[in-house]
Amino acid sequence: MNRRTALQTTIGTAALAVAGCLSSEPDEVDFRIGSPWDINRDPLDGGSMVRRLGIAESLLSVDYEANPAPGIATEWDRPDDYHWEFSLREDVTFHDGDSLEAETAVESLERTFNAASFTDLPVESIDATDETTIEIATETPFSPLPAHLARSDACILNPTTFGDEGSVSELISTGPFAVDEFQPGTSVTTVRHEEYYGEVPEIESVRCEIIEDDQTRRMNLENGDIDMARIMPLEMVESLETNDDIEHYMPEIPRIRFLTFDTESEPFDDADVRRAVNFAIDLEGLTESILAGVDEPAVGPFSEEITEWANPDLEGYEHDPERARDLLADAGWTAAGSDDVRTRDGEALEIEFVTFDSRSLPLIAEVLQDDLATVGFDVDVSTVEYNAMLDEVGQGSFDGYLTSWGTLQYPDPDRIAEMFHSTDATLFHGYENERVDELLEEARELTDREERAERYHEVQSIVRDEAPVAFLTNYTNVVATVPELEGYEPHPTEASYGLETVSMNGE
Amino acid sequence: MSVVLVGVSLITYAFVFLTPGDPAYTILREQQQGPPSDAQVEAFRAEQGLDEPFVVQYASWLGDAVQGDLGISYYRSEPVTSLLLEYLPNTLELALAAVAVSLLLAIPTGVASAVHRDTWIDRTSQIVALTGISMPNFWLGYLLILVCSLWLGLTPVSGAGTLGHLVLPAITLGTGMAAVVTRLVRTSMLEVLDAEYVDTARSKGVRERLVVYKHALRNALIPVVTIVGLQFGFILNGAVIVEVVFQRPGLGTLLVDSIFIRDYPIVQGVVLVTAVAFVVTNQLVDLAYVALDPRIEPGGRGVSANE
Repeated sequence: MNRRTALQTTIGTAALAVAGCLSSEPDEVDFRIGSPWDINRDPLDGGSMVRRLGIAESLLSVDYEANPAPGIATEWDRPDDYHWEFSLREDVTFHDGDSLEAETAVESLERTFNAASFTDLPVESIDATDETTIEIATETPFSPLPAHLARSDACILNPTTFGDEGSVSELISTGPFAVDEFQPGTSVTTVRHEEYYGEVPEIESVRCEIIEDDQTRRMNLENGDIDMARIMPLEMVESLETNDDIEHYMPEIPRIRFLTFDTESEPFDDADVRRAVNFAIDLEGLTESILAGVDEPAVGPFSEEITEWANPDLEGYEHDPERARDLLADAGWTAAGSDDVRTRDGEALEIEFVTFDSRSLPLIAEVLQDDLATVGFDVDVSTVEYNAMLDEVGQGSFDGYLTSWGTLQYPDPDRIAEMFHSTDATLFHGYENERVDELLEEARELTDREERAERYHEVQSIVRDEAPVAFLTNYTNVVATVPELEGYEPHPTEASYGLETVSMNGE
Repeated sequence: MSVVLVGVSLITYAFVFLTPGDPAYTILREQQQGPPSDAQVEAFRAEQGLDEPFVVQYASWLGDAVQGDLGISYYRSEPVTSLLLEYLPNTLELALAAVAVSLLLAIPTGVASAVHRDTWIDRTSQIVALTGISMPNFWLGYLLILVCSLWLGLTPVSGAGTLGHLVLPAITLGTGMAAVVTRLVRTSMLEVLDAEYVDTARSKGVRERLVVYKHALRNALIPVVTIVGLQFGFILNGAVIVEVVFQRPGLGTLLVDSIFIRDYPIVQGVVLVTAVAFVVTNQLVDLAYVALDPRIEPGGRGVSANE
């Protein structure tokens, strides 16, 4: 290439670029969403997004009280402890026009229950007993089964799309919206499913774009390139409130931030030391200072705002540094002056908190560091990448770590067995309490909601008192939209964006 | 070339193997949004062959890779090759555009700066270049979006696909690079302008303009080509920040995301593609030397060996 052609080429490119600058694409969809989350074609790879967008549906849905609710199956029954019967709607049609029968649903569910994320469930068999009834047998009495059928990774897909190795060639489900174009990592465009059995949506087409960056997402909204921006950072709330061109919603979601202790090693093998930590933390101050006063202090795994599984009598630890000091002194950790690091048998009260590089947790860890210093802890904070943190704490060599968890990933309180049951728990705290195990195991088998609730409430009281973890804060989603959006009601478990009921009015 | 590729893949495979964080655990946790049980982890390991020793795993990956099969992503259940093909065009497009922007800015500025050495032109361009080097990518990106998209309404805020989408990221990435290249062009021009053959050309009565552009610039560009070639390789998977700010699905983002969720087949695939790109760019750089410098003959001793 000689100089002249090089020059010509670059000038040509520049001219084209300028031309490209000036032409803007016409918008061909009714409603556009910007979300930071990747969208998977196969719900088993993580089905939250396709479920929220109303593309895929599970056998059961989740209602606004965060309980399993009718979906493809209208009702369900538990004839005996080991069996469940689900009656399906007769008018369910897949996006490609095939009609859904019990047989097809069973085929889809079998693929689901063979997947790694379902192998732990005690499901023995899934059968279609007639055209609209599915019977599921379990190895042990298992009350959370409907909740697991309402999971977003348990979506019902048309089995004609299944490949040899359990892969899915196309996303064909039964939701109010059907996939029009799927661009992995970029966007998904949907059109409304005219043969949907429920209310047919008012908006005809939706595009959900993956916009990882918070600022970019916001600028897209301000520029009119999207109509809804999901998950805005808390520090943006103030500027959203003063902006008349943007509407925002702040629903609480079933997610908590908490500090997990290693209850098997010093100093946190002593419940009083763990309680002392709880008393030392000023949660109100913490949420006000670094969470923009939006997230509320957490009292337990569930928030009363969201679910009635939350123990209504539960009270969090009040901020009482004096009490924390007394507890520590009684446990043998003494200090010469009030600002000194406490010691016991010549050993200093030095601990390390690990957390990962999320938005708020490293900041929260620093606040805890200060709060605990005032009662005589010497806290070291280390922030690593999430999986490196799990690896580290998984080997049991930690004092405490900060993380956040969705507590109703499936809409059943059995989820807290994964937090506190001595063998089911995956938090590495080493906490064991026979009463907690017993209650969790009983509640998993019982049918009666009241009887189950009693047990889960008691578990919440026990773990509040024995403090294998310190509950820190609940979680709020900030969603910003254009003011024209009407009918949007944030779902408590984020099972759906409710696109089938929204409309764009007031232009 | 194949030695380079095998070496690179072996090293990444080893690094990946030594990284803390169990892929089976990580992937399952990502998929179900909650910690998996031991049984699930075992099942996943067996399915993906992760319980085999390192050498066996690597050999089987290499065997498949030679046949063009880079495996299937753990997380997305899609073949790695098709993912790469999806992301590569965006990245190439951005890298080429950024290089074009940077050359367009850097060469004239660098030359002007050298020719008018120690004048206001030189000083200004030096300061601008310094600012360019110091300016963080993401900040310039936001600034450009604010001005060009929100205020002037010229370009879309973010996304990929049309030329309009390409302009801002190319400028963001290109200016940073231009700053480096400007300084390089200036230095190397100054050196060449002092050379004896330039004096010779001048004394022959060649016009100054011709001396600068034909005699001096051509020679001064040789180190520039090397650096631009290298930079191009880096942009291929080093433009993560720009890709995130402008919401462009590219290899950089793909690589970083895959590392975070321990999706090793993708990590391997992207590294392999980058290695190939580096090798190819190096070859092209060598070819460019030939075009620029008549003393270097094709196939002659002057061409550095990459095989």
